[in-house]
Amino acid sequence: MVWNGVHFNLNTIIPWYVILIWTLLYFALLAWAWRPKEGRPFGNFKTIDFVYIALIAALLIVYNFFISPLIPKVGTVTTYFYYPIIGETFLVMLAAALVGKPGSAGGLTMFIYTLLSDIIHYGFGGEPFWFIYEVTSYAAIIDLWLIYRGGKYYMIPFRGIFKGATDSKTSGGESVTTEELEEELKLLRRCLLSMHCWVELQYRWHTHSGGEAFGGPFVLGISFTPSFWLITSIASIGAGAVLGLVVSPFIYYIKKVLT
Amino acid sequence: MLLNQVLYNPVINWIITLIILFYGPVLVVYLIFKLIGFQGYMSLFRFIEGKSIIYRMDPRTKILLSIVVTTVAAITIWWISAIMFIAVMALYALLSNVKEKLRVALPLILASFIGTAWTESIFAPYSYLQVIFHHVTFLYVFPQSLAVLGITQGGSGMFYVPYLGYVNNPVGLTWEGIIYGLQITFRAVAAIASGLLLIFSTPPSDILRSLEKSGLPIELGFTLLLAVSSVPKVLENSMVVLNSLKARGGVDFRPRSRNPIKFIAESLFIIRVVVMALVSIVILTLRDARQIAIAADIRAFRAYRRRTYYRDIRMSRIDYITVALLIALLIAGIYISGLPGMGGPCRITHDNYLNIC
Repeated sequence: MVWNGVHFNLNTIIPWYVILIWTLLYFALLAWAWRPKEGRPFGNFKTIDFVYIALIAALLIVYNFFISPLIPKVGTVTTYFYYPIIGETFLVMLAAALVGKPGSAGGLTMFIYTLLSDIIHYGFGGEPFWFIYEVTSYAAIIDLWLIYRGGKYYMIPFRGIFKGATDSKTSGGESVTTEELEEELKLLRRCLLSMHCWVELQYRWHTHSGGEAFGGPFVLGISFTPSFWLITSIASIGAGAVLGLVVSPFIYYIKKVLT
Repeated sequence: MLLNQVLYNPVINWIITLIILFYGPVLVVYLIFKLIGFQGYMSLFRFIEGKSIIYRMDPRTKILLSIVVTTVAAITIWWISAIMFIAVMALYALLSNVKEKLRVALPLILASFIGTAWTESIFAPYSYLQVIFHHVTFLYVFPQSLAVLGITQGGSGMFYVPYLGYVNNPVGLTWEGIIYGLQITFRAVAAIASGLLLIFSTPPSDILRSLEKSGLPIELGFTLLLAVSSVPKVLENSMVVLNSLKARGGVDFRPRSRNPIKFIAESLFIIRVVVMALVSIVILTLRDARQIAIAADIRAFRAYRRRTYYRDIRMSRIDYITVALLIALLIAGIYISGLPGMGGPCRITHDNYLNIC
């Protein structure tokens, strides 16, 4: 049976119930994080957060439709290391870093981007599964990280740097001394990069899990062999770490400039 | 005979293959950029008032048009998508300043055709082409070693290749791949054309209002609308940054040197410049965020769950007629897709490495 371009092929590498549980868990956690505060939905989101997300979604559109096609792609390399995705990775992570609230990456940025790209380019074939796929595969891990960290995207040294650099006071009222600041600076790059590698690693893993092990077969009806999925997933972990290393200093710099 | 020796001279064969592989799609996109330019892309997201029936229709009807066209294109055979594409393009005649709109829309649509046909001509799986067309014709043969790249490779047996004769198990560019690429592109372009029609004929504020009326939370509507209206701003920022880079040092984005060491050094410098440009574009775009947020807050954004509007949108008789026609089209599409040989075998995808049909 094919409906709206969805093949509903359940002969997938990852069983359908695992993906269903993962998706339900993600959306349940997101619903919890977005429980209304002061009568407003979307939890603690402020107007500026929606503005950041909108502008990053616009940047994503420009990147994916106008810049990424200009990047030469070599078939053998992109199968294992899809390097043009670096721009998307960078922008989604930037949204999470700037907004710093659960749901900023997948629940909102990827949702708005997908809706916009459906309207101006792709059309609505395959929906609503492309929404679920894009959100859960490309950004859910980042959102879950934000839920786990209570909205703090960066690890403590990074948070300290920003607080220290801006008003030399932490939220608890403790002051950040110059020595502490220097100590944090030493730790900064290591923690920042390791955290980004970790997130990126998860991100790439899930992108492949979603695309080849479930999303592709389920929606498009195409099939991949488990060995191909395993090899590309392992390759993607390494590739993800490289992407994480490349984008993290720029996210750090942009956040510093804007906040 | 002479042509055979020229085309399949090992060195020339490799050069032609590499040009087809690496520069083909890039050249297409480059040409499209040259045809439309940044200004053209910006006009995609800027609304110009009109008075025809298409402007008076409720935005929800036009969104439904886009959904139904995409859905029917997805589930039916390619030529139905082609008919719908032509029908949607006919509606462009109702747009104001239609020449300007087509100057933007046609290159985008052409890019989809050329890009997909080009890719499919060299990457469409042989087994797939064999099933669909029952015959595969190789137009040009690449060096055999490139089979590892996933380029179309003939099955066992001999294949006739123009100017070369019969070849066993060839690897290369196929005629059926081009046809297959053009066929599947009709599905995409029908969707693109209907999406662009919505953008060209509806003010962004009306799209927001219609989405709100359809139950979309105001926050999502606001974010979506701001994203749409920010795309020209992002493109403008890109121009500003690139022009300022050029003004400061005449930055050339292509390495020119023939000396390999200098070539690598120039390439690294270009990467540095591109990264600097991208970071600047991002910062320039996001720098205005605070002002936009303040402007929205001043206008009581999120202050009340329900907002009222000075000019409300309502469904008119033409909307009801169009909706009825669209529902009929959807039902017909579902029925046709169930007929033998009339269903759609593959889909356009959101993901480049799922781009297999």
